[in-house]
Order: sequence, then C-alpha cells, then structure tokens
Amino acid sequence: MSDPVSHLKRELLAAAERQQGHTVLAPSRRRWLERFRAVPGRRRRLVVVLAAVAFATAVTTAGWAIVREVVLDKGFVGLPPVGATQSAPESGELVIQYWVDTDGPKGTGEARAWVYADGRLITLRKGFLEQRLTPDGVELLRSEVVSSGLEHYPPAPGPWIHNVIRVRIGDRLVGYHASFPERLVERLADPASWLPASAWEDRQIRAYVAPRYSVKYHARPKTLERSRILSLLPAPAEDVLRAKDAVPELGQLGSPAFPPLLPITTYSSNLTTEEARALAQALDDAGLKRGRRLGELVYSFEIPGTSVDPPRPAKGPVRNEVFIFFWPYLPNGESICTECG
Amino acid sequence: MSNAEQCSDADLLLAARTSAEAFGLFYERHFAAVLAFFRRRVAGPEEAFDLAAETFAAALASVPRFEPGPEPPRAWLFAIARHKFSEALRSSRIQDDARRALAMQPIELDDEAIEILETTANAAAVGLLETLAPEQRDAIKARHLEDRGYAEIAAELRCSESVVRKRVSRGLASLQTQLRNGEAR
Repeated sequence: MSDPVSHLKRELLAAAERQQGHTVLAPSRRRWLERFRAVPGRRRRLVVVLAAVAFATAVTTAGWAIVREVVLDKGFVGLPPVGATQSAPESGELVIQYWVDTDGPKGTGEARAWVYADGRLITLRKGFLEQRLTPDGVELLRSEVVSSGLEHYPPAPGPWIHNVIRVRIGDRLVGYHASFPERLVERLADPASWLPASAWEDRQIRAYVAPRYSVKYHARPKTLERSRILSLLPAPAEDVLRAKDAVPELGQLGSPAFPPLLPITTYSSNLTTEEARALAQALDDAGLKRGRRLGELVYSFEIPGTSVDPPRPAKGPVRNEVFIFFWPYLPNGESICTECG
Repeated sequence: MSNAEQCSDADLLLAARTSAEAFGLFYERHFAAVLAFFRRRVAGPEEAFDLAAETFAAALASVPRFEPGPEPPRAWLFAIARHKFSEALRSSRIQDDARRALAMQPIELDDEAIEILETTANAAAVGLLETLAPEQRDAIKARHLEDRGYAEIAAELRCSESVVRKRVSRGLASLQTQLRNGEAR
C-alpha cells in the first residue's frame, strides 16, 4: 500500500487534469490509452466505449462500497456535535451503577458506569460512552455484582462518591460503599474482558449523546440570588435561563480561605440540547471563559467589584465568580457532576 | 525553492484553473491541517481521511469559481471542511459526491496507511504541545499521553491535584485556541 497522502494527491492531480481538459497525462494513463491506438477503426471505438462504461460502473458501484458511516465512537466533552443522534430511548431503568477505584500495580484509575434494563452500558472515560448488552448480559453483570457478597458492606451515603456500587435487587436500588474485592473491581472495570460474546447486543463503543442537560449556576464563594446572577449574564443567555424554571439546591462550599464551610445556593434548570447549545453559544459570543472537565462543560467569570477578603491568615482577596455548569442527563434522569466525589 | 512554492495560496488557487500542479501544491500545504481538523471530530483515521479527500475534491471542483477575497484561502478551505463535516453528521455517512463528480478512484487503507495518516494528523498537535509552558506541557503529557491519574502526577510534581488540573486545563485551552486560530489563518 502506498502512502495514502500521496495516493490522494495523485487522484486529485488526475481529476484536476480531467477538469481542465489538460493534454498532459500521467504516464500510467498515457500507457493505458496507447494500448488502444493499436486497435484500428470501429473496433477501437467499441473497446474505448466498453472500457469507459466498465470504468463508470466500477466507480459508481463496488468501488464506493467503502464509504464509511460517521460514528462518534469517542466520548466528547460538553455538548454533542450538531446532528449527532441522541441515545434512545430517552429514559431507562437503572439496574447497576458503580464508581470504583482501580488502583493497582498497573497504575491508578477509576471505573464509572451505569447499566440499564434496556441493555445500555454507559461508561465515563473521556466523555460518556455507550455499548449495548442483551437482557441476559445485563443479568449476568448484575449476578456477578450481587454474588460478590455486597450485603456485608456498609450502605452508600449516595451515588456521588468513589467506591460505590448500586444494584437493583427486586424493585429497590441498593447502594454499598467499600473497598471492593479486587476480582469484582477488575470485572467492573472491563466487562468486555469476561462477558461472553452472547452477552452483547452491540459491542461497538459509541458516544453517549444525552437528550437533555441540567444547567446549574451559582456564585461563589459569596452566594448570590438567582435574579442577580441572571442579570450578570449576557442578554441572550439571560433570556434562555430566565425562561426556564429553576430549582434552588442548597449546598456547602469548602474553602481553605473560608473555614469551615460556606452555604451556597445553586440554581438548576432542565434544558434540551438545542436550548443548551443556544446558551453555550451566547456565553461563547460574550467571550466567557470556557472550561472542559471529564464529561461536562463549565463557564465562569469574575463578578466585578465583589472580590472577598478572607479572614487571616489566608491571603486575599479571593475572586468572587459565577459558574455555569452543563451536566448531561443519563437515562435514569440523573445528571452527572463528573468532577465531584 | 521553486517559484510555485513561493506563491501565496490565492495565487496557487488562481493558477490551479489551468495547472494541476498548482492545486497539488495547495493540497500539500494544507492536507495535514485538514486531516487533523477531521481527526479531532470523528471516530477513526479512515473517516477523517474520507472527509479530507471529499473536502479537497470539493475544493478542486470549486477552483474555477474561486476569487480571492478578504478571507484567506485557508479559511475558504476550512469552510468547505466544516460544511462536509455537518453534512456527514446530518446524514450519518460521509458523502462522496465531490469525488464521484470528479471520477476519482476510491482509496483503500491498510494498517500501514492508517499509521501514516495518524502520524500526519498528530504531527500538528504534538508540535503545538512544545509551544506550551513547560509545567503545562508536562502535566498534559502525564495526564493525556501517559494516562496517569491526577493524584499520582501531583505527588510526583509535589503540588496539589488542583494545581495539576489547572495546568492541564489551561494548557488544553491554549492548544485549543491555537488549533482554532490555525484553522482560520
């Protein structure tokens, strides 16, 4: 096989010559035509016509069978490319969720995944990725988790910390928090290494394309009311968020400069991908700083004149900033903070 | 260096109306950047190569209508590339209209060819990595090329995880800006 870059160049040059009606022909084409010069009269014309028909047929049928589909088989951070197909169906029943540390001789790491009754196995690596298990495959994975003696471990305080496994037992999703056995962790980190081929409906890895985004915004370290935050945004972005309901979520922010913990209110709105894209576009157009995390998009900007002097001995001033996060929704209706935990 | 090599992109495209070689030179100048543009957006090197081929075929077909304007020809080329990418996403397949119209032969790729394409596509980004501040470059290499965890990198560099994250994040943002500017240049 020749260098494809040079090969394509040769194809383009030949096409350019055809396009320009050039008389200069590539040596191989010249030789090809010279063969027909020896064929006299009508027979020569017939051969040329047949050759042209054969060439056209080859180009339009078999040759172009290599046209490839566009498959997003790598996760993306933030919003999906325009036109990317959303994962379907929009909602699904969560059967297993895990977030386990995979530290070992090969290095440190973690495995995060969500498994749904409809077979979807969604993993978080560099962005969210999706594969499809069969119903038997889902059950095989669930059995592996349940049979590992989870009941001996303490219950999980929530899904948002490391070393948690949640699994559906009956109609309940039960969570455990522990340093789990190495064998189980290895299997969860790489289900493809042990699940049989029959457990997979579609083993191809594709990007998980969320149908909706949870947009969360707050000011910190000094918390601000929603209306004040919205008034600080570029007008088109303010319009998008003001038109949506917002749920206040109370939390606390730890900061070495502000011991012990600061109360903080985050406002959360549910946006379609198109609405989220319009919001991101408005923030981009205004030149806001854009950060990319493992699977989420975040914008931030400093609120002029609101820097805070922390109590001594911490050094100040501390910049007071607005943060706007785009968290993708998973099929079970959970939106994911990829950097929390 | 020949006269043709000293020509501007606009001169090459004007000359390409009557000279195939001029278009060949324009292709040589920009193929790697166009390939890298697609490689950052699609799953594999084969798809990126097909899209790049389709982009240059469409550019060649448009050469007779090309007129120099305020935008550099490279921006014109990337406008075609972006259009080809949107078209591919909309239809979930890479179109071949431009190559068909020019009766171009399909190019099949074996492992060696794919390796060449990956090297070509990565060359631009790897080169850019060297333009970053050393601490950002080292953090990005450790995190994304060596795939190491933040905690491990932080321990080695004797700083907090948060500092490593910031270096990686700022370095990537800088790379992204440079790549974006490169596409429009």
